[in-house]
Amino acid sequence: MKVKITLLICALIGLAFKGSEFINFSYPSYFPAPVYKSADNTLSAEKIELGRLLFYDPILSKDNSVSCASCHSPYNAFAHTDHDLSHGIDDSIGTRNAPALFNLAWQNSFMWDGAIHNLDMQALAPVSHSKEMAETLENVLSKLNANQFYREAFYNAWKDSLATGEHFLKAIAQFQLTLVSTDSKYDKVQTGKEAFSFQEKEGLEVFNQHCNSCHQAPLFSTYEFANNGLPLDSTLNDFGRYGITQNPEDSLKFKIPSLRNLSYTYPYMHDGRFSTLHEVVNHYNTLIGSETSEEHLSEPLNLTSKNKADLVSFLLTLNDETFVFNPENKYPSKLLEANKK
Amino acid sequence: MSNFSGKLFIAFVLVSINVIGQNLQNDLLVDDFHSSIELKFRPEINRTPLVLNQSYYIPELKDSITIRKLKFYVSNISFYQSEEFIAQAEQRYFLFDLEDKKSMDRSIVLPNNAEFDNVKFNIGVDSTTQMKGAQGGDLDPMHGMYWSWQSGYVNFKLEGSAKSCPGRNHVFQFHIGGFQAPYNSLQNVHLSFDQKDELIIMLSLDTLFTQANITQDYKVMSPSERAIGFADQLPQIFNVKP
Repeated sequence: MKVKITLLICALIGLAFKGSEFINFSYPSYFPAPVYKSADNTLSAEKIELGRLLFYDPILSKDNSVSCASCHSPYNAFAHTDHDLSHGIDDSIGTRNAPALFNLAWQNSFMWDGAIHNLDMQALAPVSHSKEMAETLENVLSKLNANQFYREAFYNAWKDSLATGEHFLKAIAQFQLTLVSTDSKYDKVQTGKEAFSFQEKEGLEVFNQHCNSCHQAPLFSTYEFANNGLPLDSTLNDFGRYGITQNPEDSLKFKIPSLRNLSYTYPYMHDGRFSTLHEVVNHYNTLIGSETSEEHLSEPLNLTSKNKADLVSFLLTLNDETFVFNPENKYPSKLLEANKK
Repeated sequence: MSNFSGKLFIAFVLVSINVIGQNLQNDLLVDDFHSSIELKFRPEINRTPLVLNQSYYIPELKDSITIRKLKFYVSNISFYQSEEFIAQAEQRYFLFDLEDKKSMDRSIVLPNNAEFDNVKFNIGVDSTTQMKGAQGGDLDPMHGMYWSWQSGYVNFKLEGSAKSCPGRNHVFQFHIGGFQAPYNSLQNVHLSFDQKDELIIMLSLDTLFTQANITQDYKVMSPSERAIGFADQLPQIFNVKP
């Protein structure tokens, strides 16, 4: 009898929590633990949904023309193909390449220079940048609060129809947290579902010898900052991390990007200077004009043509089609209703 | 079965007590065990209450200045009786904004009969809180005190104009923030006073205006050596109204 009563009470407590569906954040066993930290931001289906609506809605920009997805397209693993530098409001051109967005829960700094230290706060930068959305948070919130569709969406998510900065930012962070890429061929090999070809295996060895120290598996980045030997582009004079820390040792250091989904995220590098993977490999193979003091890049790789072909063949196993074409990450058709209300 | 109803009843009572307790906390109710002290910040120039967009002559500058914005965070307000800690304000962070009159007068709930004769607080937001994600209330980034291009709160914001300032439209802008070494701009203030129901703290802004920051360093808007230099002057402008 006592056991039954205990069970019943547990069930009742369980019911009390079922009102809003809590999402468990799942990831493969060979991944490290996520590092995302936020005071009180438990994932829920409604909050993720709100974040997804906001991510795709140009209401975030000053003239309602540019959304987050304008430069972070799902089909490019949330990067922007064909634009070396980011393209914002009134055809403005920024100074850096729009980075791909995935596995953000494993990163504790954002932007090429790590200027942002919490995913919650990241959206503020593009919203207010004069060459991106050129809008203010205050104004976005007043537009959202004047919109019946969003008042309902905020209520569903937060049990409060008022759009505040906190709820706006946390919702966008929640959607971005769900952009998890863990289903590439590499992952399938880890879980025993597939096997590498002979050439891919040869490529993995080249990778482990020359690339893995910065582009560490399974995230394929340490998400630290490094000077990868690219000469300064004097039309941009971008010194990267130095601009944030003002420490001369950080000059020309940029955040190491993940190599996952690399076929979808060209052009490459912080300023999009390379449009093909071939150019990227050649850069490391020759290090022309490099003045980096990173020990791993003290000498060019000097790979043979075969080495290069093997390496590229391995790198292509990092593409995750499941992620890129995941319907849950795409434009939410519900957003069409937003403009009717 | 009766055993089960009994347990449910107890659970219900426990939940109710919990809910009532939370409401008390949330509404900062003053009850038999708590009283409140009114904390008021009063900025002034030349011992004259500061009014936004009014001109004040500063003899040392041989120029007049106009302030159009003054906003700052005060956090971790703790009361002491000589060296002994007595109580801390339950609300940890307060945004004071001269444009919003209400924000300049705050009620702080403290235990009843607490006796104290000095107060310590920070100007700005401490680094532990800075590292957390989006927050609400006075810390909500919608209040315009959060840097978008480089994460971090502006701890102290002062904007205005002076003829001798060479900036566009003679505008000076001091957005003082930064919490990561070596540019941590958080400041500590320690003030003694005679206990009353209200504590009025004056900000003597005159000393912040020097020839150097009006004519050379009139734009400080990032974590830097210059920001630290400005922040270091802040504690001395706070004093208790006698």
